Amino acid sequence: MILSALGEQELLKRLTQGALVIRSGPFKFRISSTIENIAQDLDVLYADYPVCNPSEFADFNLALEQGVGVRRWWRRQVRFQFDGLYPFEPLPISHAYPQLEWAMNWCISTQAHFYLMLHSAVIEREGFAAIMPAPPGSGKSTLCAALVNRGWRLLSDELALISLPDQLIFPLARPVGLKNDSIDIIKAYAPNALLNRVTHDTTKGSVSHMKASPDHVNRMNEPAAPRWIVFPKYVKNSPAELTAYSKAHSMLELGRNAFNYSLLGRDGFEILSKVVAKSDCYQLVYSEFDEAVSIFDSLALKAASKD
Amino acid sequence: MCWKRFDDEWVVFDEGSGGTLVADPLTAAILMTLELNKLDQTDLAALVAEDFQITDHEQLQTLLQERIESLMGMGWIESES
Repeated sequence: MILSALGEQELLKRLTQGALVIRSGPFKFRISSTIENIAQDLDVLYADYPVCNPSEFADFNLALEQGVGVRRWWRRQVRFQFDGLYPFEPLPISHAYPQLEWAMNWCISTQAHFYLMLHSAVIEREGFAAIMPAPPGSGKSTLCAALVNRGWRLLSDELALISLPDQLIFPLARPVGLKNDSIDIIKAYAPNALLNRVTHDTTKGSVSHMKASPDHVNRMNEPAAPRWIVFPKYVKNSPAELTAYSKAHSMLELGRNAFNYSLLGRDGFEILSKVVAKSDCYQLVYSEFDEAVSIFDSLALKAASKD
Repeated sequence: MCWKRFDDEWVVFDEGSGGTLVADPLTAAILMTLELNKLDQTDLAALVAEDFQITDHEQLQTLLQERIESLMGMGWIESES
């Protein structure tokens, strides 16, 4: 059963009773909240995701609770609770939905050490994955959003989940986080893309999430083999340019962008080195989406003709 | 230490510290040699010169000194003196 089949009342009931279990990629999230807007946003962004039996085991149990004491009425707050712990400071209640998305990322990145996890967008074409690691502000999520609206499959805009035994990359196919100018830029570039309402004045500015395509959600059990590592950088008015980048330095950068490379020790090193060995590494400077998309399409075409 | 070579560069991982470094061939040779033996700079230079078949020992000493200072600065090697 998918979430949209639950109907508004059942969704709300499950959410308030801690009985809503959503699957995203390899993970099941039990989400509970009495905050009114959460259900609306889930209904928009997670309509196509499988929901599990309420009694089923969930990998992560998240609760978004209302503030306590005076904060229940005055300057209301949301508090994220995970397994009885409150890892973050409370936020204004209007930030509840982005808080949920960030909390889901946090759960995975701090717990799922049976994957090597890179802070990176990942997209797929012809069975091959392009890993796009980049620091915040480099435009990786925005470029990822553009590419998945032009024929590339979304694996994740935030987390590359690399399987330890075989280095395949597993999809999460979660909504793509956009912020500030990127929201209108993507709305203009992909008018059919569905975004939830914008939350203003968060620590990241104004944020919204773009719904993953139903086709990408349906294929979230389908991993992809690493084939390219592309470090994207948005530079205003710059023509798109792809330049080969040292594999050794790519590996160093990937390690720096990983959540658990050091924690995995020698295994992390061995796995990352295999990912890099299998991939062509590049730096990409761009300002226009169409030019960047064309470059990515050329890479896919070249790989498909080789294999 | 764990090693992986890509073209003419090495990536080395130190399990003790969790640090990762990109090394050019000379830096890699220094670390590989010192991983096996405690050496002074003269003996290190002799082994590296042999490995790389270098005859200009004066230039090698200069390059070695630069690399050793850099590696010491990053904590990858330490002096016992």
